[in-house]
Amino acid sequence: MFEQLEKQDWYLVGIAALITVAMAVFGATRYYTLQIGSLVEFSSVIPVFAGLVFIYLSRSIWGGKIARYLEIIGAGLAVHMLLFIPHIQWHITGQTEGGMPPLIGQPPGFWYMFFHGMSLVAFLFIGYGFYLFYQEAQE
Amino acid sequence: MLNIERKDGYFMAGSALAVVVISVIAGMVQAPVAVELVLDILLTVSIFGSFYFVYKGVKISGGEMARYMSIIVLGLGIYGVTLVPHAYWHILGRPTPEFIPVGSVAALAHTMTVMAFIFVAYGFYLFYEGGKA
Repeated sequence: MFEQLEKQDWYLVGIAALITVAMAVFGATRYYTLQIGSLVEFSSVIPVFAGLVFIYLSRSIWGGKIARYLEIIGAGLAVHMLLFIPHIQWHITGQTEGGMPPLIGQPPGFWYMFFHGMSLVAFLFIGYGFYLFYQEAQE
Repeated sequence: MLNIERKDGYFMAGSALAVVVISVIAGMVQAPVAVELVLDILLTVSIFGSFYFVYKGVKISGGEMARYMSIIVLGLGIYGVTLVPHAYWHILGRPTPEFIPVGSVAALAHTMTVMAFIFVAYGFYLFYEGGKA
């Protein structure tokens, strides 16, 4: 499937790999603290937001069925984006305090199921969107 | 206005509601942390689902849209492959062989999460650009 990629796409893949390796080297230094680590992880919601903006803009351009599939994928990305930081922050708190704390009056059991269940549902929406695209290609 | 159909809305709202209901039950029965692992493995499986449909769809249709889709699932695939090892490495207290700095593994894993979603964003950006032309 990746034979569809153009040269510029492979450049981006290469640059991403280089940055990742550079970050791993940086990680070996004492400057890479836990705070920086969580900031890097949290910053992954920025490209997710950018993806949502492009989905929003693409909807009106492509319209029709394609807009429908994109909206479903976008809904999944949006759920992922909204819950990602609260979810990971809750885990970090649990790790540093030696036990998962209750949140908004709900016990850990609720949140294990809620956060991970919602991420699962988010990626099921995305899978459903790609399934519909696939069905469209078959026609 | 949205282009989703009624059944899409039912599917999405229904599954979100189901998660809330199951979560309340999980809170009452004090579900163990192991449910996370099960759900995360299912998440990985669902990402492989996206990957599979794009793989099949690309073979049928080809063309520019196939390129956008391939880049998007490349990103999702990186997230899917790294998620479980990354999360459970943290949960287990970051066990790392002595000759590898812990910070390097952490930085590698965290940066890969960011890169994964940069590919997703880039794919949708191309989707948008491709629609304009």
